[in-house]
Amino acid sequence: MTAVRPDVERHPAPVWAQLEVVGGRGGTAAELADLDTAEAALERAADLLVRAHGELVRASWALPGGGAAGPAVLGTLSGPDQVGESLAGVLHGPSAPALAAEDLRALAGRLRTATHGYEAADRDVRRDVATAVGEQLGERPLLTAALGGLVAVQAVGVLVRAAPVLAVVAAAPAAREGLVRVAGRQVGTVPGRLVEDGQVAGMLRAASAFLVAVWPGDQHLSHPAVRPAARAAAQAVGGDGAQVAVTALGARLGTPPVASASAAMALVASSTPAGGSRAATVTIQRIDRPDGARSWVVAVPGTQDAGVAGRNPFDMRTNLELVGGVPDGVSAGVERAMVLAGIGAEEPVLLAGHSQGGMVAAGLAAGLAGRYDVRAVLTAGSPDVSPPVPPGTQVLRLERATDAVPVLDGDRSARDRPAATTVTDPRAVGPLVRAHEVGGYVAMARDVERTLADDPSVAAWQGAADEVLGPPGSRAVTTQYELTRPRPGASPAPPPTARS
Amino acid sequence: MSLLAAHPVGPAVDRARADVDAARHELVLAGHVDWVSDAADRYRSALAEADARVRRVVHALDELAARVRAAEAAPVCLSLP
Repeated sequence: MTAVRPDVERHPAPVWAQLEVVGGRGGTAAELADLDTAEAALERAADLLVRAHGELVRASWALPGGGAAGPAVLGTLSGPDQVGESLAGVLHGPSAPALAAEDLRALAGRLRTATHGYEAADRDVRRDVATAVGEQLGERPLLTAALGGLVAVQAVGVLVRAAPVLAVVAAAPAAREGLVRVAGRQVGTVPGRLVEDGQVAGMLRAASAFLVAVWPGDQHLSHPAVRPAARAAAQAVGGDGAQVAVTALGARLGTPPVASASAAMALVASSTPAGGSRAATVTIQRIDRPDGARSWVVAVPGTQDAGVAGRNPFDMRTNLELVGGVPDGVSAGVERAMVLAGIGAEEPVLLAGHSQGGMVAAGLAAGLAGRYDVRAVLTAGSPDVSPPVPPGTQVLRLERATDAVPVLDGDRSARDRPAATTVTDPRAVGPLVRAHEVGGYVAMARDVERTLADDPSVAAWQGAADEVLGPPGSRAVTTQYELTRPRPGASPAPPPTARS
Repeated sequence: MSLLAAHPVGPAVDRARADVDAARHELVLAGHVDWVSDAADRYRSALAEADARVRRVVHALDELAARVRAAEAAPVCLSLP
């Protein structure tokens, strides 16, 4: 399910030998309950065939002299009707039901072996997480939470003021001591290897588990704890985070039609202040194809504000809401912008996003099912927190192994679903912040286009994206929309109206 | 009543045929797995082969049933060794 990473330090390998592809059409994904059901069906089929064989054996007994009939005897009992001969042919030939039953039992056994293998892999992942929590940090839950939370939070550049969850830790004196004690020692050692080994994800789980445990009410530590912890933190902020105003900023001139994954990611990069756009901006490009069809690319940038209470919704509050699975301002704003842009229900859409924007894009693909025809989703450096996308939608996730942000979902298992392909670049690219830069992901998208076009999973995504992207001769109209949270006490934004 | 019921082996062939039909239905269920991988491809290939084998059983039973029906029209003539 996962490929061995080459040793980049000693044996630099070409890009095509280094990018890892997991999931998608050519990947590995198994619904274990389905495999159990299939195995049971095979066993039942085998039982039925054995019973059929028994019926035929008893039938042979009904023939005169056939009580202990073997093939030779049966063959001579037939007489003019040749029933005995035919019966012997069935019972003792290659079409005997019992032989087919043996085949099915063997197949059921192989299926059982595969199921046990997947279960063992699943157990290993759980055990690794438990080990990360238990062995590295001992039996001190407060220190565990403090260290785990600190390392995870520092690793992704989350500021203390942006994470109200830390207030819970800080409320416990022992935890506060631990937080201070480990700070100087741990913060500088976060990058690269720690993320690559999955320890950040394990620590994040540890911290989340503790936070869930101290939250009031019944808690279930056996479940992945990141989501409820983030939800609790988001709720602690208060108010309705999904309330945003959307303003059309007008068309951007000179933007060529998006024709590739890297161009879609470049459109995301250009939607940031560093890319020349205003803050809190999403970009929607209408593509008028030569055949008269119309399609759309929606570009959503990542986090721009480390706070939780500002007017820019691309902030930590939205991150907590996205990870916590509660309505968020950016998703609501992008949806409103799509209405304002006049995207038709039958017109194919590609949603692209970096970091937080990727979470928004993937979440909208699921949430807008039935209202918009989202064919493809492209995410870069994003945690995987969204529900499965609807049938017909393909997701391509780009991750750098040294980027700490994608592991914020706390899930160390392979991102491994039939409609979602994850391409990972294991090459170290320097400090954490650099590994997460959207520009690096634009380059990675180019690498994927150049080197993985023949990969079945990537090709499946490309096939879906090609239904949206502009072929030669296409024309584009690119419009930007600014998302703004209302000032406290302001009246809610009016419902959107589609542009005529 | 089955056309085969009058022959001594007719009812048994009837029941065997019904069991094999039910087995084929189970094989259809065994194909409904949300599973994507090379191993899944091999499984589906093996399942298709198994289904082909069961179809051959069905064919053999159909031939047997035809013989039984033919026997309905003529008295059984034994030729013991």
